[in-house]
Amino acid sequence: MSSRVINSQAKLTLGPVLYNWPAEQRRDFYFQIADEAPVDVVYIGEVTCSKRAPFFTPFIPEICDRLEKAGKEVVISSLSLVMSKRERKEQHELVQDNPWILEANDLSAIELLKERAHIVGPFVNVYNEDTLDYFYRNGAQRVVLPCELSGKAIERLLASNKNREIEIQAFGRVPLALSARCYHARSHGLSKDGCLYVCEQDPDGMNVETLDGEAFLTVNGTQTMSYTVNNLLAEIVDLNRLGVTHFRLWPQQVDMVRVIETYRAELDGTITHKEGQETLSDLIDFAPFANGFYHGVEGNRLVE
Amino acid sequence: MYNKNAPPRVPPFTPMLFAGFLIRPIPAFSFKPVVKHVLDRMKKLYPEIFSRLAILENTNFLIRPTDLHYSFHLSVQEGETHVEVRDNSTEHPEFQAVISGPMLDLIRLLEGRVDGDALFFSRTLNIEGDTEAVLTLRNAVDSADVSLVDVMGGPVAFMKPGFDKMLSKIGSVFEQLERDFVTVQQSILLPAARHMREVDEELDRMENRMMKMDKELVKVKTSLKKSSQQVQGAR
Amino acid sequence: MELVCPAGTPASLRAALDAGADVVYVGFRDETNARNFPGLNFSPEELRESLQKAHDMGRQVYVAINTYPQAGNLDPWYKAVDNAARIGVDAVILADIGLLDYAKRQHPELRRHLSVQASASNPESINFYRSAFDVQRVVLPRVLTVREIGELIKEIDVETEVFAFGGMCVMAEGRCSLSSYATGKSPNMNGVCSPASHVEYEQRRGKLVSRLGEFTINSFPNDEAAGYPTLCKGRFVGHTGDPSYLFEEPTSLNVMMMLPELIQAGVRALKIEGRQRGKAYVYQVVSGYRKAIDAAMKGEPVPFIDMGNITEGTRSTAGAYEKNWR
Repeated sequence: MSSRVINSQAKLTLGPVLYNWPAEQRRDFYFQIADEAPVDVVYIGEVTCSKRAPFFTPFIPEICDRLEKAGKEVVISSLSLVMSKRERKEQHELVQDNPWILEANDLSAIELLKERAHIVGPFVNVYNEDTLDYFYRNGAQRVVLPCELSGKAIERLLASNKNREIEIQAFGRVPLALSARCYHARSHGLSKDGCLYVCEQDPDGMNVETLDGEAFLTVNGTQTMSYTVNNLLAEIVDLNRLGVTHFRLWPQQVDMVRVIETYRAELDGTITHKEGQETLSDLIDFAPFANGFYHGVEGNRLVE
Repeated sequence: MYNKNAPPRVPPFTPMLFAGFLIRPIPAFSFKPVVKHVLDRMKKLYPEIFSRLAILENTNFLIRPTDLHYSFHLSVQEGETHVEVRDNSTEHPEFQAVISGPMLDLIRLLEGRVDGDALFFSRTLNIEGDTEAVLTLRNAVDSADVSLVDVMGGPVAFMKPGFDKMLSKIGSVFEQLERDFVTVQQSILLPAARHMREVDEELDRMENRMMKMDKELVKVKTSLKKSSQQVQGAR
Repeated sequence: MELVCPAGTPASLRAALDAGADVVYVGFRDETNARNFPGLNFSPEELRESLQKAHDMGRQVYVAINTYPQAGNLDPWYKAVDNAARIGVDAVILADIGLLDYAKRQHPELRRHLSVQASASNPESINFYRSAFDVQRVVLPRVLTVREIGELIKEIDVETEVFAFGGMCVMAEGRCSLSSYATGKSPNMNGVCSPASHVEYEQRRGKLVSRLGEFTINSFPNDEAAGYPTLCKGRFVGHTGDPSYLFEEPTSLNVMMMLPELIQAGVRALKIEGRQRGKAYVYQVVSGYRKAIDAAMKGEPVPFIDMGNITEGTRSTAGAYEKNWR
């Protein structure tokens, strides 16, 4: 593949862990990432459910320290659906107290971060150049685009926003919807308040099948995700050429270091597409790949 | 493409069903002048309906009153809406969408006196085929305040003064009859319905068991495959 | 308390006004609104006539331009805002930040409401839209309890409108890509959720099976009330291995019995969902709510008004307004 444009400027990012992994396991995961993974940016923090936050929050400073020492850019991600007084209070504290840059996943965080550089997260709606431009003017250093935007839409978005940092979701199950209701608890006959943290049982989310027994979606607490694993390995070089600067890989319970290495090698042109895809296929055995959103069709589809 | 030449399911027990028996000997083509009159009047009175139907070019609908022996074929060709009445015993051409329900409910729907979604949710109305086309038709019809009395009351030879009154009278007699029919039907059918439900539940249970067994089978196959791979790997 | 009612056609608008709507909200016949269904919605000319009729009766018309403009193709959305302003509607209901910015710059005098599709669920978000774009009213997402709504109202300087009746999103509105995952079309981009173009009903051994795209969403025995295959209201198999309504039953929101609490909480307007429903629905729901609001405003007990026949699955719920829904 000697004809490929090699672009080592493109950056790989590791999105925050969206699932309820036990706090120690999550810490060890980040330590391994710090020590072994060729990733440029690491996002960290509870995005999905505020009830999970207290267990992991105490570990965050130690992890960030180790990541920074390893030369990674650290970003703290904020909660995606902010409703209660407690959630608002915790968000205020997060914005005030933390020395790292923040990814705002709700407009409320953007309001609080007005005077400071920040990153606009994938849970904030950015569908067009006017909105993108507004956020840059408002102090956004980088914008992570929503999952359902097609490659064409991304191209048109970037046409009028040159030389800005822009991030897309390249790998992992895609978060599709947020709710006040917890479907994990509901499926166990529990309410959100008395959930017994049953979401911890499914480190890659709980599979949802149709009446025909066909795998359809994945439930992660209050979040509903794709069943398929988004994989844009074949598209990232093109996207980088269009001006996408950052590629997000969502953590799954697989060897993420190898996933990251594979994407890095693809961007650097040190492996062929085929080798890369084969490595990923070996690593991901729990669900099929998809790239439908990128190709402007049903998100669950894989366009070859 | 949706081909619906199959005989309709058991018709609903309505006064229309009995009226249908009475008019059954009348061949479908005899209705042609009446249908033409109604359609022409509607085009004149409610042009907004037909402008909204324009996007349905080349879509064929079969509108089937389940308690009559006739069906209506509606299609839009070169921007013009056509309606034909056909006897159900004749061969139906191909349709993209089929709407079926009791005649009086279809009339109420045409006049916007009932909500189409509500009829559908309650299973009174059935739709098959191109759902989007059905929705477009419903939205178009609902965009005007259709009154069949106004439509029928237009200038036509066989209509005499007082016809309007007669029409609404017929309408209210039918609606009273319909309520009576429902009462009779419920008392006759209740025991049979109970039995059917039990049979259905039993079938459901069996179906679920089959599905579970299917899944078990897949699991067994997968683990067999895995262990045979391991054996091969060990070699 | 203002009663804000849906209309998908001029006939529905007339029905809403006749039934006692204070305000009717509508959309243009294109992808700029979140009920972009075939055969539905208003041409600019129909809007002009309808607005005249409403104003003659001392009522108002809002226009929803609440999808997210498409990258590289902003003109239809600009034009919708320009048309609404030129025709003189009483407010536009917007969700996209870029479009709010455009409306504020081009038509500062045009009243702006924040659509539920913007999912502003807390005072900080609402204050952001207030200070950046001067929104006068926010339509609250259907994720808050009545108590939370009351607390929120105390912290904001904007009118609030809440959903009272109709189809209910179980997900935070405007933050859901389930529909595009299954069909390629989404509320945010295309103004449709689980679009009819991807819906199929089939009869399978005495059951009505509804399918969306490639997926079976539900199956109804013949004596059970059916629902539209909105994918979050389907029957699925989760943890237990048994089919269930994992996300939500096919049900309609109905908060009529909570009217006194909503009035107490300081809610400014009640919204009825259903621009895609027929005028018979509009007339029945609006008449019922007119009576109920009039009674509640006088401090009288809210009369029981049966809406069973027009609700989805012929059932209703107070939804997220009650905490145990979560």
